[in-house]
Amino acid sequence: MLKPLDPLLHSELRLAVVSILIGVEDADFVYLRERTGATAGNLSVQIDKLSKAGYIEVVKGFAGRKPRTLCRITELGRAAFSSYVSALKEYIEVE
Amino acid sequence: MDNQKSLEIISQMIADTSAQIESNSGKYFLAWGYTTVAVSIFEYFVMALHLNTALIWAWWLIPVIGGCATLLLARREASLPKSYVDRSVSAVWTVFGISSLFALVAAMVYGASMFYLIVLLMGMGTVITGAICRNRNLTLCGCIAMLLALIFPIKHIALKNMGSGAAEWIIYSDIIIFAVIFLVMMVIPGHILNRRYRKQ
Repeated sequence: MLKPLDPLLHSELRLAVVSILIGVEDADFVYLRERTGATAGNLSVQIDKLSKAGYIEVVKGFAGRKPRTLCRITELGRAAFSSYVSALKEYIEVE
Repeated sequence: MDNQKSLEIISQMIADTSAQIESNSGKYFLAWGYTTVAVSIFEYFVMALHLNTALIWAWWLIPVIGGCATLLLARREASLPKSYVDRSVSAVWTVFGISSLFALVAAMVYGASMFYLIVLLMGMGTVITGAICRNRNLTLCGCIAMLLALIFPIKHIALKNMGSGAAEWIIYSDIIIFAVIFLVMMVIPGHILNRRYRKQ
């Protein structure tokens, strides 16, 4: 019996955001927008969903005078990503 | 979204982020390396041409120019993500940079060997950075610099009994050796890191 894929991560933009955050301590909103090619509005909505699920932490602050939003993956997010990758491997092996 | 697409997204995002993080380091090595080489050459001519002795304070241009360049580069890269490697490398260079400032003060106040201490400290910083970043070139260049640092005490012992003319020659040649070591320790690995990034 194959494990179901986490629906929160099984979305192109949310998966891209978590994949970036998995390898770094934190990443700027602007950087995430540039790397994923998403619009600010869409990215903001997806980040909010990940944050509400406890997968990422969002810290709002300032870099000099400019407002800055930093995103950081949580332990729960890491665990979810790890299970997602394991489940994905199983699906690909079956295929 | 199919499973193959998911895998593509994961691997592409992880690879892109690692490439971005790696790009940070080369520029810092070049900024500090070229600054040190340029100031050393300037100081060599100050001594060789017997110019104003107050120009010895120009050694302080290294931390001033290097520090400003570091701040500018860091500000330009403020939007790039920070990794555990970034934080470790930054901590290493903060500690070794401050220790080198102490070595510079010691050299000016009571004549400690600035060249030996700074090369040793910077060499250690380069070796540790290479180990953290898993970069063989950096580790190798740092090790070579640490070995080359031994030239200073060895040369000093060898020339100690050769009279007053030798003392002047020791200082002149020390400056040139110092510049060459920085070329090996920072400029060469800096260019290697930059070239590797451009290829990626």
